[in-house]
Parts: sequence; C-alpha cells; structure tokens
Amino acid sequence: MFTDFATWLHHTSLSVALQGQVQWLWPFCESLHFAGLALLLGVAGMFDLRLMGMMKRVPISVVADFMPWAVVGFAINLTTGLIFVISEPAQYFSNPTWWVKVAFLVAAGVNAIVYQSGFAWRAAQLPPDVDTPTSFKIIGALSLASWFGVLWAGRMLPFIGAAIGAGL
Amino acid sequence: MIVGPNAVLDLKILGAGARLPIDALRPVFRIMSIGFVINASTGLVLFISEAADKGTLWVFYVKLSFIALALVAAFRTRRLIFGRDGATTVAEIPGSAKALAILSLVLWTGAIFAGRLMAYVH
Repeated sequence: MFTDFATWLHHTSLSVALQGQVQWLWPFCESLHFAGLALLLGVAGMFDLRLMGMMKRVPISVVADFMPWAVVGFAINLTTGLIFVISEPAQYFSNPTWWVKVAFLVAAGVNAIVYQSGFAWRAAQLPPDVDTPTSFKIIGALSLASWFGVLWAGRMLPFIGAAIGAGL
Repeated sequence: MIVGPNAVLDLKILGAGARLPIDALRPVFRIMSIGFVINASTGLVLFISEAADKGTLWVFYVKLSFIALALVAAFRTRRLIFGRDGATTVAEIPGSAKALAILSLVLWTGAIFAGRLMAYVH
C-alpha cells in the first residue's frame, strides 16, 4: 500500500525539485541531521537525566529552560528528515528499519505528551534536593531509551533491511 | 555524548538558561570524557578496518583537526569557568569564555560536517 504512496510522492513537484537539486544538498542535509541530533539529544538528554534524579539541586523548571534548544534540534531534523523521505520515499518505506525508527520516534513523542499533560505540573511543585518520584524516573528513562532507539535505527538504515544500498 | 553536552555548556555560557547556575554543568566534562572514549575507540576500529582508504582522504584530516581544536577549546573553557584546580567557579562569565563557546560550536559542527563528507569525498 505504501508502494503507491511512494510512487505518488516521488512524482510530486516538490520531490522532483529536490531530486534535481545540486549534488551536495543530500550530504549537507545529512550533516545538519547529525548536528541537529547532537543538539536534541544533548539538551533533552540532560532533562531526562534530571527527571531520573541527577542534578537534584537544580529545579526541573530551570533545566526545562533549555528545552527550546531541543525543539530547535528536532525542527532541524524533522526538516532534513522530510527532505530525505520526500526525495527518495521508496528507499525508506521499503526498509523495515525505517519503520523501527518511526516507531521509536512515536514512542518518544507519546512519552513527551504523557509527561507534558500529566506530570509537568507536578514537576513545578517538586522542591529541589528531593528525589524525583519513580514515575518521573520511568518517563526520563523511556525518553532516553526511545531517542537512542531513533538514533540507532537511523544509523542502521543503510545496513539492516535496506533494499537500495544508498545513503551510506 | 560529546557534542550534545558541550553544546549545552556553550549555550549556557552564551546566555541560555539564565536561571541555571553554571556550577551545575560541571558533570558535562565527565560525560564528554565517556563519550570521547567511546567515539575515539570505535573511530579507531573503523579507521583500522579501512585505513588505506580513509587515510588518504583530506577531509579526514580536516575532521581530526576540528576535533583537536574543539577539545583544546573545551579544556580552556573548563579552566576559565571552573578554575585551574577545578575547585573554584567564576562568579561572572568572562568574554573570552563566550568567544570560546562560539568557537566550540563552530568547530564541533565542522567536525560533524567533515565526518559526514568522508562518505562522499574521494
């Protein structure tokens, strides 16, 4: 079912325009994708470690002040990632590892939504120097694990299950 | 575990997260050391397996230079902010540390770009 969608996407004017771009666009976007992931994981990872109980003397809300930078990293990676998928949809849709990456991405997203909707208000009331509740530790660990899952599956794209050996 | 934590420290030095005491970012260097050991050892294994190929790539030496300079910047930043003995933290962030923070971000980004380009430049 995704074959039809991939074919359609590959023929959209946006995809055709991207395919016809200068040769350095792809490696340039890959490099940006790596820089974006460092920013995203560096900042979100610090927040996750705080939820897991590290740096207790710093209030969670203060660590959260950095989170807009994680969003910047995510925006860079969403944009460059969409450029890859729109340019060569079949290469990704036909690769099971890409779906593993998407699954980890969804897990990270759901986990973040659960935290924002059910736990962020409790974090605001948590005094410093007090250990975080177990629920916070679980959310932090799940977040770290799912982002590393996204990273790992992304790096494995050309190695596991790739029908086309491009993009090494 | 290298670029991410260093970027957090650089952003803090450049004014992000004003409410965060810079002293709280001391563990950044320990995390970076762990990351560096992982990346240096896996990088060495990758290099050994393709030394004849990668060793002739000019962009590989650009990458190594960026990493070396970024590490120098990180060491200098640590001394400026946390003191020579690692015991005293500065009260106010000096302008030189801000310049180093910008340099650090540029150098790590350069290392990432050079590393990625190794797959394309021949």
